[in-house]
Formats: sequence, C-alpha cells, structure tokens
Amino acid sequence: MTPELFITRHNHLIDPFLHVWSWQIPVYLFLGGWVAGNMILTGYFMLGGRHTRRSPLLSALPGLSLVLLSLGMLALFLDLEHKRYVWRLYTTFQWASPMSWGSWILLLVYPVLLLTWMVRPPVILEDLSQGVERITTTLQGRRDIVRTIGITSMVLGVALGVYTGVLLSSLVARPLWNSGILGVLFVASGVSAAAAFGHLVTHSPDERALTVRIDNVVLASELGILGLFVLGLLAGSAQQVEAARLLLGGPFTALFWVFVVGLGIVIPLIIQLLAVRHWIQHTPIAPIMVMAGGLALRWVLVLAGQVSRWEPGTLRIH
Amino acid sequence: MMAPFLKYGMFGDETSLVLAFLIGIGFGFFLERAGFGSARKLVSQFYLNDLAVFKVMFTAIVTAMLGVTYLGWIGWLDLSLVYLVPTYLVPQIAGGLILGAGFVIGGYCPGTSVAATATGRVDGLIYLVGIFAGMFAFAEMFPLLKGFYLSGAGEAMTIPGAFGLPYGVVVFAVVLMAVGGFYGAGLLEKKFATPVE
Repeated sequence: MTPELFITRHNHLIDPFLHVWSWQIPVYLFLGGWVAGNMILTGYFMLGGRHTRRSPLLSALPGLSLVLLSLGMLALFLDLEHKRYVWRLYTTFQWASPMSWGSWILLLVYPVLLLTWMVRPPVILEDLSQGVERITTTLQGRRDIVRTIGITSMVLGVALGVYTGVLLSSLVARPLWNSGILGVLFVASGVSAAAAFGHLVTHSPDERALTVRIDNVVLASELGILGLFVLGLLAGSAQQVEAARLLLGGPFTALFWVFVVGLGIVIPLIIQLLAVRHWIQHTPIAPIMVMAGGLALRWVLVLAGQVSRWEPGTLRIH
Repeated sequence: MMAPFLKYGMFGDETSLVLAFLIGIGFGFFLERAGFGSARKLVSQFYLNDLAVFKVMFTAIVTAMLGVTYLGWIGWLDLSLVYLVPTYLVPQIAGGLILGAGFVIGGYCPGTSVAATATGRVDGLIYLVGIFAGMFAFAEMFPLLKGFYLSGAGEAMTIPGAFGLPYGVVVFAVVLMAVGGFYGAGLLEKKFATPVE
C-alpha cells in the first residue's frame, strides 16, 4: 500500500479530482452554518425563558431556518453528480463518513426546527390554525418539554455547524482543510451570522442589545480561532505550510484578509463595540458586513482548499 | 531595508492589496473626520469662507513631499523607482477643469463622495452613481476620444525637470508657497466669513 491510499487519499481510485466544487458548496456551507447558529440562538433563548413572552426572533428564526436549510440543500443537490440516487444516503449509516453523518443530521434538524417554531410561533400562524394554537398552549404549559427542545436545538445546531467544517477537514487530500479547528471555526461563524441577522431584523431593543453582544463575543472568538487555524497550518507539514501561504502572500491573500478578516470581522466588530458603548448609533451596515464575511469565509476556504494539494512541488504560489 | 517595498520585492501584489485596504481605511477615516464627507464644508472653499479643504490638502502635500525628500536623502527611498503618472498636458488640464466644475456643482470630489456615501449621505451616493455613469460613458466613447486622451509627450514631467531647477529648491519653494497660502487663506476666511446673526 502506498501512503497516498491511506494518508493523502490523492489517488485516482479514491479522490480522483481535486477541483470539483463550485458556488454550490460555499453557499450550502454558509446557509447550513447560519441555520446552525439560528438553532443555537433559539435554544439559548428558550432556556432563558424567552418563550413565555413575545419574542420576534424566537418566532421568526426557526421558520426562516426551514427555508434557509431547504435552499442550502437545494444548492447541495445541484452539486451532486448522480442526483437520482440521493435517496440512497438514507438507506445506510456510515459512522466514518461525514457525509453520512451530515445527511442524517440534516434530516433530524427539520422536525426539531418545526417543534422549536411551535413553542413560540408568529401570531399570524396561531391565528390561521387552531391546531397550532393548541400545540403552542400545550408546549408552553410544559417547561420540561420546552427545556428539552431548547437543549436538543442547541446540541443539533452545534452538530450541524461542526459537520459543515468536518465535511471539509475530513478531505485529507487538501492540506488547507485538513485541520480539526475548521468545525469550531464554522460553528463560531454560523452563530455570528445568526446573531448579526437577529441584530439586523429584530424590532425588540432588548433582543437587539443581546444579539449584538453575543455577536461581538463570537466575532472576537472567531478572530482567535482563525489565528489558531493559520498557526496550526504553519506548524504542520511542509504541504500545510505551503497551503497556509495561499493566505499569507499567495493568490488568496487579498480575498482572505480584506473580505473575511477586515470587512467581515474586524471593522463590524469595531463598529458594534462602539455602538454597544453608545458612542455611535446602531447601524445595519455592521451586521450585513458580518453576514457577507461569513459567506466570504466559506467561499475563500473552498476555493483555496481545492488549490492546495499534497504532492511536493505541485503547489505553485504566484 | 529600502523603499518602495513592492519594487524591492519585500511583498507581492496580493499583500500590497491588503496594505492598500489598510491605507484606504486610514485615508477614508481621516477624510471623514476632517469633515470632508459634507458637501457644504467642501464647497465653502469656493465661497472663500472656509478654506479647511485647501489647508488640509496642502498640509498633506507638504508632509508627503518632505517625507519623500528626507527619506530619499537618507537613502531609505529610491526616488527613481517611485511611480509617476505620465504627463499628457492638454488632456490633463481639460480633465482638471471638468473635475473642478463637477466639484463646484456637485459638492464632492471622487474620494470625498465615497466618504459621504459611507456615512449614509444620499447626495454622496447619487454623486457616486454619476461618477460610475461617467466612467462607463467615457469607456464606451474611448475609441472616439483616444486621440485627444493620448495627445502630448506622455512622459512623466516634473517641475525640477521642466524648469531645470534643483530638486531641493523646488521643495523649499513649495514649502514657502504653503506657508504663504495658509496665511492668505486665514485672511480670506476673515474677509468672507458669514456674519453671525
């Protein structure tokens, strides 16, 4: 057996092509991460007892997540080579395959999102259906059930977010992705996108204040995680160092540092920190930048990762 | 260590774009903080009652000029490698007049219109849309305008080179001009100050 079969997988029988992913994958990873963040946020809100009063975000995020996740899965479906056989993913569970994990996690997410939505649905939904009103009344009367739904939502949100990172990091043939921290990075980015969206759309001052504070903490953490990600690559094998150079002087440097780090994290973080201290007014620009930065992060990593490879001397830095 | 860093290969094009981003943030920040995101402030210089734009811009020119001169003398900057825009005298005078007319009428120059847009000013945004429309029209009409656009020598012309003066003398003259300009600007501001009711 050669190392390429059991270490790098860069073999024509295992991973024959390295550059196969286009816009569908970063879009799916972003939407999946955003939904993961929404689930963590709504779970946190429910554990904090926000379901007992009017909460615009608790009423909106689960329903929106159903749409976002469906759009993400549509993008993923469009990327599939053999679209007719997608159902076969659900005839088995392969514990060593991140795709198998992902397929089942995605399937579990839908009912949990629906249940979360029923805890505090939008008024219009309650008015439309007496059934919804009955379910909501029952759920709200059972604190233990609401608590269980909240915890399940958070756990499944973390699993979904981590999975979007593991999906990339398990592809050993791409040294840029081959980092365990990618899962944590994508969870952080997902929570940040969710908090930014909450900050952007909620009309409740209380929720706006809370989401902007959450976003600031997560954005600062994301900076640290990104730093660890780059340091981890620089401390790795020669190929991982080469992969890191794609972002440190190589062809993806400007995209990564300007759109992901600068416009996606640092500048909105500064604006939001000033807003929290009441030095400037809250602006919709900052959360929009955060969300665009989340998409840019996936886009740059998916593109750059496909350029990085294991064979010595094949990685050309321009 | 010798500048210009890019020309001496200290970093590549990609890193230079990241540095351009950082420098751009600094430029935009100070432009806005100086009040240049406001069309009223900017056009005041044409009514001679607030010459802050003139003072700030001339200060920037003198600071940059002295910095470049001293760094060149110390030997940290190779002036021969600093990029100079080729001179096309007549088309550039025409361009300057058009830009100046646009500045008086619209209240912004291209950079300040971006600063104004970033602070949410609608007039700045409309001005910016106009800039892009003008650039698009110019690009579409370029085959017609190409002859005039490239007329002239096309070499980088400098004041010391054109007038045969030593570089240091020109620098000193510009500094004197700035000092005189600032003094004159102060007098004009007093004379044309809007009376407080």
